[in-house]
Amino acid sequence: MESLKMEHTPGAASISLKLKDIERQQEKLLNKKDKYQSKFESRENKVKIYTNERDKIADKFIGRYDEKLKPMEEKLERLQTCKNEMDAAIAGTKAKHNRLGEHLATLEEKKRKLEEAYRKAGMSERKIKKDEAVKTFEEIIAGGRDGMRKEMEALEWQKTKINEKIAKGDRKANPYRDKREKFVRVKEGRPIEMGVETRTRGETFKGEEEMKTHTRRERPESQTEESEEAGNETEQAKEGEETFEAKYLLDEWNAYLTPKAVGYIKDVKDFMQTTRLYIFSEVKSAEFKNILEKYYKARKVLMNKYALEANVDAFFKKIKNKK
Amino acid sequence: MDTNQNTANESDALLDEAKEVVKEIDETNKESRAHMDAIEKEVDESINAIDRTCTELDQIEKETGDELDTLMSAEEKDLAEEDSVDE
Repeated sequence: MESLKMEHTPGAASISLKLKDIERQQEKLLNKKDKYQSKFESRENKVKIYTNERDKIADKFIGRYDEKLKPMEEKLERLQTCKNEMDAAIAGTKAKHNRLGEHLATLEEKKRKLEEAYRKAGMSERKIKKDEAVKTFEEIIAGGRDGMRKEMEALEWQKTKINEKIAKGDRKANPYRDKREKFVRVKEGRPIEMGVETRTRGETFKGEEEMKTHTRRERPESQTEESEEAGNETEQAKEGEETFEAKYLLDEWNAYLTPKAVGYIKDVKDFMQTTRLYIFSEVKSAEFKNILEKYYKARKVLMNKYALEANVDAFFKKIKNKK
Repeated sequence: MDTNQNTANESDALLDEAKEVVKEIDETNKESRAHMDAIEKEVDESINAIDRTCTELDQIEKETGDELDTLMSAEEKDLAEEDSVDE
């Protein structure tokens, strides 16, 4: 510009005025930019402050919620154990009923032989039927069978009732797990970064405090649901099959497994109490398999059903050979 | 006579044995019923505890929801005020 003036170029003065005008407009625009930038920054920081406040509230909620959820999860876990313990107890009771039923059948066989003896002694069919001892015996046997049938029905009914209660409790608790996640998600809505360029002019804008967003808490690991195996009961105990005392079986099973193996039963008393077996209860291989399966489930011993079956089969082969 | 006596004795023994078996059935049933009742009692107690916790969780959720609503209203008001000042 100066050289144009020195060379007396025509219009230099007017160009100079235009340039000054452009400079004034540029300054005006820069001032306007600063104003908007300040506005953006102020708004951005306010939003960040509110976001931090919101995060604090959500964190407080999650903390208080977790504090209550943890014992609730433990209760739900306990309910599942109750369900499995109930199955183990029913399996043990069934085995005991099977033996008692077999005992009644043996007695009936003896009764038939006795009736035969009456016949041989010349007693008429009518007299045998009217014999007090025979009548009482028949009543006792029928009563015993009826008692077992009714008891098994009552147990199954009670099992259904308990299972319904457990399912209801679980259904009630489930939405609360989701609600916790809802508040975890509340924190996911972060303020939009405006991406406003930082000022390049003037020292006054240096050292501006950059608001830091709170880091989100990690999501809890997804819970692995206990895989409910298709409820196919293990094979029925075969009639006439050899029986073994529960305590003997357990000792032999432990010896077969060795102490470090999965499935080794350290607490024999707990096994007996949970399965409702007595140490002298007579058990068949299929029943033992079924009882073991239920007991392991109740005590959260992870053993594949098929591996357990194969193991129990091999085990019984071994102890039968031993005898 | 001897045969009859033997048969009678056998019959008595059979009756006694049958009574023993039925007694054992009764005991087994009584015991398993008591065990199931104990399990049901524990289930009921756990369910009651879960119910109580659900009520407490509802309260926590309500308090937090109210707190969040208040905060959001304050934020809206604050930002709206800022906008009006600028205008």
